Amino acid sequence: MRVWGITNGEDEETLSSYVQQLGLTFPVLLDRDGSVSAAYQQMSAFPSAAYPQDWIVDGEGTVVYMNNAFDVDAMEAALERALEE
Amino acid sequence: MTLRLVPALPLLFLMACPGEPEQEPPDDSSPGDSSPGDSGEPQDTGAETGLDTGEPSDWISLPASCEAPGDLGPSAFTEVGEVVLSGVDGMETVYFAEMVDLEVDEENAVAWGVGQGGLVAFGLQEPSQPEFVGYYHAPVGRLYRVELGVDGFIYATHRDSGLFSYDGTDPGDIQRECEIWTPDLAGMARVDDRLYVVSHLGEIVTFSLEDPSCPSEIARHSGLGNAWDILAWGERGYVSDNSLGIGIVDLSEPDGATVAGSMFPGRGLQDLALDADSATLYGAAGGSGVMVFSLEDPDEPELVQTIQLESSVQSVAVSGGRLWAVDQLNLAAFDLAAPRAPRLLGTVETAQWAMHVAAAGERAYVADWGQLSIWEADLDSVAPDLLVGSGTVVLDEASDSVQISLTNLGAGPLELTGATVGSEDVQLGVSSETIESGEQATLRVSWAGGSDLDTRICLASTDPDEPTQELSLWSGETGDSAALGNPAPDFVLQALDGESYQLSAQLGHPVVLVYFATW
Repeated sequence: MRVWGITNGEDEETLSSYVQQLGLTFPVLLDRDGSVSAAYQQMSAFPSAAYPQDWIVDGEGTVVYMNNAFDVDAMEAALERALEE
Repeated sequence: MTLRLVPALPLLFLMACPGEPEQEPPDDSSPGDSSPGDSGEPQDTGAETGLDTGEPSDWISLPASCEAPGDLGPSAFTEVGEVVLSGVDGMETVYFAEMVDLEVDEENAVAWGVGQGGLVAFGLQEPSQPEFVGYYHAPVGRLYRVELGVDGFIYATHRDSGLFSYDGTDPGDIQRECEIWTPDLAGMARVDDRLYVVSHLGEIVTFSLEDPSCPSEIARHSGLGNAWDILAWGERGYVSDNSLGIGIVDLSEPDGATVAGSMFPGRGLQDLALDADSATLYGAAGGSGVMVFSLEDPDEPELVQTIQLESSVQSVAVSGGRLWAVDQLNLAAFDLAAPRAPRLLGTVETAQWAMHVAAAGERAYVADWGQLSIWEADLDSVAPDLLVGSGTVVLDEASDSVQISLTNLGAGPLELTGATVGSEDVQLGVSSETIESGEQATLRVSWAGGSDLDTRICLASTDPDEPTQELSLWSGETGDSAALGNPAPDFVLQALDGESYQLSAQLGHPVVLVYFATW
């Protein structure tokens, strides 16, 4: 299983210190031109806030979970299903 | 690398199958009622990916040039002044960025902003030359909301920590007075010597300001959902609640506010503004747009209409006969001559991320991430304003053409004057060269296949704010919208650590993608 952070439009220095402060150990990807954010319709996928958003892509490349509220139980369930495949 | 297609699962976004014509030729594709202001339906602001079945002769080729037309009329917008926060004098050794809330103290000509790093004060004595005057570094990182108190005191909330008070009598020498540790606080409203604070956990907390330097909690009631902000009007408070809708709070009792009711117009409300004379309430409702409510019966807000903007609407403000809204990317201005039917004057892209708007007089003050921007909008403007349905176009072999909506959000007619694309394999056509105010045309991008695409489309129009607009165009195997059950759009991105990561290279392993921001 992989966990990737994705950011868009962040100042890289700010981002680095933020990542350090929080002690994030997963790779933090830079969507510099916003193309990934656009492909995932990240700004409009949810009617409320655009951040944060969690997406889970299963081992076959299919979106199996998307949410902009942090829901540990639902994420666990989606991941378990994805890992069982 | 081919990602799996899942034919059995519901396709949540519009995706017509080849051979099943679902769209008429677009020569008359601009229904008169298609004004975004009339639609209560959330519109997909991503690419319109329906396959067209129109004959090529239906499409008009624009001149192959992307020069800004020479005879552009005036924009609806004037940027009066700005302060960019990086590198201002007095801030070399401290750090402030990502301003997410802003209040204007008209009497003292000071604007107060909060964000990553703390509280910042701007002098507005000369609106065309706003200046940085003071700064207080927050002990906890990020402040989320700011509210003006009495006697020069300023209050700010921090989502994880609590409520902070500052003495802002001298904005050049801000002092921290007091801190109240109670987590999950969001927006505030002050009425006389009471400060009402709503919380993300659904509470309304009443503080007494008998000592304005240090608010003291006198009551705390639940009954809200995920509350973002509160607006006080007479004996009532209206709460923009992301999950509950509009919460109505009774402020008449001196011993503390209680929740009196709620109405649910849809999710996503995060900020409110009021036109008291007409008893009209405006809500910023994220991807749902701007909501307009009648408060004819103040206890029963009634949704009158929803106005869609390009991105996620964060904040609204009313002043000087204008409604202002920001959607992260743009500032939008509306004429409120008919308060329950705001007339869009236009939208303008701001320099950074437009997170909050405050209004005073005829001006809008935008918390634009790393800067303060001050704008005016001309009520007599008839400027056109082109909104392109998607900034990114993806073509694949299954959908060798896509249609992008082109909407004229402005008050005057818009001409499309030229278009270019950086590939000989791609043809462009539009359904109409002229787009009337509030109406739509369609840009058709078709691809004969062949070499991989990674190029740009440039579109020229008579939009005075943005006479040329660029769209990214690439080919990929995933023309689908990203949605549950659909193949995840592939990408390759560089990470902070310098490594490149490609999604399709992870097949066999689930991948959790966490979109986040530092604010």
